[in-house]
Amino acid sequence: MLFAVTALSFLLLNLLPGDPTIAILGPAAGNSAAHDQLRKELHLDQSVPQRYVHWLGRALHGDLGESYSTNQSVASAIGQRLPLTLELVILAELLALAIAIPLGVFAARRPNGWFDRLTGTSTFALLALPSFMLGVLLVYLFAVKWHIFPATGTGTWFHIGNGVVGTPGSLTLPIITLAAGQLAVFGRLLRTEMVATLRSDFILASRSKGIPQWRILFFHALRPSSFTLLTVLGITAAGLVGGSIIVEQLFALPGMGSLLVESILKRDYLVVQGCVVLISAAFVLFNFFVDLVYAVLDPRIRYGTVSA
Amino acid sequence: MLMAIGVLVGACSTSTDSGGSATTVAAGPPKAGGTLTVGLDAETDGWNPSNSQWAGAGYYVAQSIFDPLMTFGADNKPHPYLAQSLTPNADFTQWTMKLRPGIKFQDGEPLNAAAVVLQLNKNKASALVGQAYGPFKSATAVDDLTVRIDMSTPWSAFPAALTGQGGYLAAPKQLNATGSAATDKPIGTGPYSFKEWVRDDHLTVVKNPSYWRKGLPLLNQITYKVIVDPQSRLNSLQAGQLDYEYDNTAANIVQAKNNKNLTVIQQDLDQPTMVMLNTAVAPLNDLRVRQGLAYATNVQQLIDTVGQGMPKQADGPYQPGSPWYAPSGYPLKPDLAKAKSLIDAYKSDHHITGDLKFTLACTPTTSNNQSMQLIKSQWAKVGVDVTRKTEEQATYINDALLGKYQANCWTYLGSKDPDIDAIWMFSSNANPPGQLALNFPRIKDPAIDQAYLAARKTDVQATRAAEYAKVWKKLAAEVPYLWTTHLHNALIFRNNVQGIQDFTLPDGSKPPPLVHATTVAPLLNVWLS
Amino acid sequence: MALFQPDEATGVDRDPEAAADAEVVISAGARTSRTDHGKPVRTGARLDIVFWLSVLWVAAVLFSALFANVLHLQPTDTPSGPPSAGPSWAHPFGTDNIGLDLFSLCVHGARMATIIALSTAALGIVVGGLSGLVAGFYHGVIEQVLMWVTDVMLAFPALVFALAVVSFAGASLTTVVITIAVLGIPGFARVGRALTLSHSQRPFVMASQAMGARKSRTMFREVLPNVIVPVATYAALAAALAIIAEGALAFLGLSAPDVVDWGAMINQGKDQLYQAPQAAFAPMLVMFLTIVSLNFLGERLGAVLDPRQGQL
Repeated sequence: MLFAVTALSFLLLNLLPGDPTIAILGPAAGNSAAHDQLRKELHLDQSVPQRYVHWLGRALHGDLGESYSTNQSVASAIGQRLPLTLELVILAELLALAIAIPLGVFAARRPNGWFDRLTGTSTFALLALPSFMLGVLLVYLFAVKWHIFPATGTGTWFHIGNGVVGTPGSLTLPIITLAAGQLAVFGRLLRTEMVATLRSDFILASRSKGIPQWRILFFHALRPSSFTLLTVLGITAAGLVGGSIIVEQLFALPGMGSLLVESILKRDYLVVQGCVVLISAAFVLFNFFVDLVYAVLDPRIRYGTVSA
Repeated sequence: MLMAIGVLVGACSTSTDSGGSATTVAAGPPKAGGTLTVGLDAETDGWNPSNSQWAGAGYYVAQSIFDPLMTFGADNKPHPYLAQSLTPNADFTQWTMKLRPGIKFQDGEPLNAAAVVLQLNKNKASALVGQAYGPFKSATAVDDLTVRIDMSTPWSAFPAALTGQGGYLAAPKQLNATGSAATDKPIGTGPYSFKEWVRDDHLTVVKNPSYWRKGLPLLNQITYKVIVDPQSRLNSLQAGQLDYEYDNTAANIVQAKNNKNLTVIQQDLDQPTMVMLNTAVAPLNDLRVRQGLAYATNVQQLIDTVGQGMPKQADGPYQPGSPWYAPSGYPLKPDLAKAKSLIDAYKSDHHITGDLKFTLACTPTTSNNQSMQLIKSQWAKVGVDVTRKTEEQATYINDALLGKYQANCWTYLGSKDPDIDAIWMFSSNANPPGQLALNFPRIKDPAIDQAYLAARKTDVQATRAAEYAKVWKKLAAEVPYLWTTHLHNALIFRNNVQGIQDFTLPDGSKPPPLVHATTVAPLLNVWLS
Repeated sequence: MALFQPDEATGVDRDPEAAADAEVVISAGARTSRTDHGKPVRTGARLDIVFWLSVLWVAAVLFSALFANVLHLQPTDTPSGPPSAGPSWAHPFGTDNIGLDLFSLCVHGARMATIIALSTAALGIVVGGLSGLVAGFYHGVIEQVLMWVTDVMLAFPALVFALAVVSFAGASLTTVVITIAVLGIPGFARVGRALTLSHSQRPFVMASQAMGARKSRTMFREVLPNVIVPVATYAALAAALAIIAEGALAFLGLSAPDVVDWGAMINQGKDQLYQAPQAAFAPMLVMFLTIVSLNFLGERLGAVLDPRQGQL
């Protein structure tokens, strides 16, 4: 799977018109001697399959190559950007879960009750609000009109190793923007599953045993209902690593998403390739992790035992 | 209509400052200390003068770490800066440069003739910078502080070439380094030493205590932050996360002017924006079409709407007030009847019924999109139906180089010395479409070549200006460019940032007025009150 | 990550993934009607006022798309009013910072939205749905191959793909439309397959096969009609997602420049928040209402059709 994705991306990138050497040399690429020289240095005069094999060989040894434009190693370029994106993604997912779980649980308590309808409607509305819309709205309200939060993420940074990490204050608006969409999906999903679970026999049994409502909700019903949530969490988190590009652009955050875009625009093939590898690997890793969690949790539920 | 393009070497000339009266009320005597945070509009790929690609943003950083050998004065002539003197022989085929004694690079290496020879020769050999070094043949160290430079043909404007990227001096240690150390760890003679660089985020420099200009700099540290989106950059400035930034978006300039916490210095630069026409492909290869478009374009409407009334209309690369300006005869007001008749003449010759169609391309900024919309509707009135296209920067430059375009939004020319722009105009650089060429519109005019070469044989400003005047008239007659406006830029900073206008050259003279200088203001004399 | 990843719910089934995809239509937001102890649960799905309002809005969008050029609206390329003006009779949504009429721009923008929505749905149903149908029915190598291709497409970062293609072929109407439609195909394929799988277990299908009908005949005559409706319901949701995706591309500056486009308007509007916030809010409102309406339609239709699924 990983091979297929990387091969596909390598092929796609090299089909692009536009020459990385021109991105490097700029207008000076008019000097054809210099231009050819640089192409040779970057191995761009070889055929595409040749270059892919060459790249693959190095990649398997952990060497993802160097950026055409900056000569920085791809690994370190990604390493500089990754902490910020990871922080963004993790905090956004945590926020989304923190809101979605209680919301979903209480909505499921009384299906079609007023709370359920209210959250149903608002999450529905949130689903229709893509990140670029919500982000602009938040910037307008909080930065332009009310001057509460900074409009860009360039607040104080901490440094972890080579990379940058932002303070929660400067990342507030971006995190909210990212979390909102996730929250809606998680909340609705959880509510649906919970409603179904709450009707099953073992819940009935717990109720008849006199176990208090809140315990039932959070300890007995939540766990079996959260498989879906876990799956979706895994998929979306992996996707966010490369897909938070809009939020990064809007709030001027130097994360993985903007690295991807800039590298594509600069035809910095090796950097893009490295990012694709990372994102696909994250995808595979997350799915694997989720499967693992299933294997751990599943046997207990399959036999309908009332868990402690 | 304004677009930032990484232009080569001298087109963005070096830092210069105003000699006029300060726009802010001085708040007591300058005091030392503090950190200045500067917002830049783009990241730069590296800090090696001989092979990195510096545009405006890059120069802000470069001028703190390096010094240029020459820089422009208020008389629009290059004055020695890091060099002590630069004198030519009688026919400008040989130059002698004398260096100031006792200057050291930030790593302790001495500034001597050997270091200069190393830098100049590396520049000549570089694909990027070598373009601007045309007639340069070789540099030799005569003694420890004297360098002799030999030209292959007369070049009176050589000092001007040393005011831009081609004149910044890096230490031999950096120039001789291999790999990323050559670009990521800059060492110069400048007022600040490089401290750290996190790409696309920030770059920090700290005060150089043994800077050769005594008493300077005043700040302890400068942090440069890269915020590409102009709105975000301005927001950061207003929120206090930045102290200083520059912007050419009309809406932002208006917004900044309304903010009492900010000081705004508006600039009308020489550098023009234009629609560049590819004279080597149809239908733009017909003079009537180009002239027709010139008469059809209503520049005033663009100024009033997209520019919000601020920029000034251009009829050539320089504006009135510049020693290089001369009226060119380019039509400043639209004449729809004339435009239509020219276009119709072309159409009937080529049996075209209906609208004349071709493509107009720009980079996708908001102002560009708005300008393109307006231009399209203006041209529609004379029977031209233009298809708009947007491309991102790398493809855009690519297409211009290869001549794979018909009409483009562009901005360049107007350098402090017109000779710096010669490389864009020579017919020898006008390879046909499909091949790389620096002469983007593919102008092939021997008269233009001769004018530039003649101007290199003398250093009398009036004589050179007369030669260039011929070029401007030719450009207005041949219409490879539809001139729109000169760049209207603003330097925006918090009220406690002082000293922006206080820069002077080592020989005591004043730099060009900030209002007409480049977008890169020198920050050498800045202090915080 | 794909832009159209169907939410995966687990189920106690032979093929958890397929059962999950089958729930996509429902789990994306509709009230579930999962039965319990044989008792049908009230779904609360009625064709109520909100449903008809959504229909009305979508109709308005379609109408705008078809007749924008014929209606007597202000021009979209020349300033027709004072810059940064608020709403008025002459300019119901106000003007942007150079004086273009926002109402007229929004109406014209409906064309792009409609084109994107329809082409994504069409291509998705035809290519994706059909592949899913074939995969779910024929099993074996065909299924493996088709699903493997789908997985690779889903794993491939959608944005990289879109960026790369739009850079390759230039940001034109055709390019953008095709790119987004292609991104939607894997989602339809998975839904199609899942529904096919769940339907192919049904007695009536098995009966048809037991009677000796050829596989393809069974596929087209028995399974397809039952699969097509839930897939079409998914199409409404996919259309909404496609509009969002196109808006995102436009927001990054990659929309077709000669076509009026809500996403591009929002992108330009964000640079005018201080002077003319209506330049961002007008297209945002219109786009939001369109997406919400499509989601409503998809959800309500899915819920209404639900009982039929449960009965067989």
